[in-house]
Amino acid sequence: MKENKEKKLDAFIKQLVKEVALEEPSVGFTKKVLSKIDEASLTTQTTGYTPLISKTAWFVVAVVSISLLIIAAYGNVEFDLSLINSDFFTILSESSSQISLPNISFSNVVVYAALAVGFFAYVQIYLLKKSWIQKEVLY
Amino acid sequence: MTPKEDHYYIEEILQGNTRAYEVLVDRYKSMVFTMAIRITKNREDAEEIAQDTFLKVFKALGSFKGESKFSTWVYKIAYYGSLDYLKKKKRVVESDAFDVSEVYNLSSMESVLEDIDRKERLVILKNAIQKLSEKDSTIVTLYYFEELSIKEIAMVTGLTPEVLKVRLFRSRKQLANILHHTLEPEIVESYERE
Repeated sequence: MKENKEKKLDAFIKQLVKEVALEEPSVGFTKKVLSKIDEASLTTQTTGYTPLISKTAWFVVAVVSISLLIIAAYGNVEFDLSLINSDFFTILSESSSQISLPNISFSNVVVYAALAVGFFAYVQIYLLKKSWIQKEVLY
Repeated sequence: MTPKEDHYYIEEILQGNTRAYEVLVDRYKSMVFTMAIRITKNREDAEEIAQDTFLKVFKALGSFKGESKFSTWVYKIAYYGSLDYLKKKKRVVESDAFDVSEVYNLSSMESVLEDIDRKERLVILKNAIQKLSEKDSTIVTLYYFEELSIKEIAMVTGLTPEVLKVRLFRSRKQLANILHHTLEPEIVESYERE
């Protein structure tokens, strides 16, 4: 019954809006728009979509990286890895073991409080989103 | 001869044939102008906004990637352009807040409207649509006249489908109530005749 009423109202409104049709702008509207375009000589500004990195740039990058790979694989290249071969990693691990981080411990109350704050933040996000949607409905 | 699709003209324009834009402007000017009127409720402002919309569309044509229909893209520019115009002018468009309770009787309204002269009826109907809020009257026109889907209107307005459904539901009731208030004397008269 209610659904039927809604359908009738829907059909009524559709007929009404169709009858009202669209508003027409002034007679010389299109000409005015085109002359404004000519005035501003926008023709030169209208450019197609240009990607940030052009096709040529991509091509150059591809050629350079492929040739580097080929040289590395087949060419006679010598690497000087003396820094790595020396005790680079041992130095690194030794130096990191010397750094001592402070040992921080939290009481249970602090942990529960942090969890509760996190939980309520999520609840707030949900409620705020809901109220924004409500605003969109109203205004 | 069937009219050519929008993208044919877009290609032409991008290749430098500015005249091809004439076809696109003619194709969408009425809807763009109507949207601007629905939002600003003023013909002069709407004319300015519509012209501005087509200039913006022309400038940005190169960035149109065809992810949506060209018309949807144009309507979106018109919609935001109109809302921005209102904001800039700091004008608050007054719309009567009619409640959504059902005071109307559809069949009596229909018969009274049928008896009214066409010209007069058009004025009554136009005024009723203009009394809706700027967003609602635009949504109603896009949905019922242009027959865009909820998804497409969501793309134009940036409102979610759920919000749009609520707005459409409310607008239907508001429109019926506005018409009921406008036609009340005639409706009463028709009851008395019976």
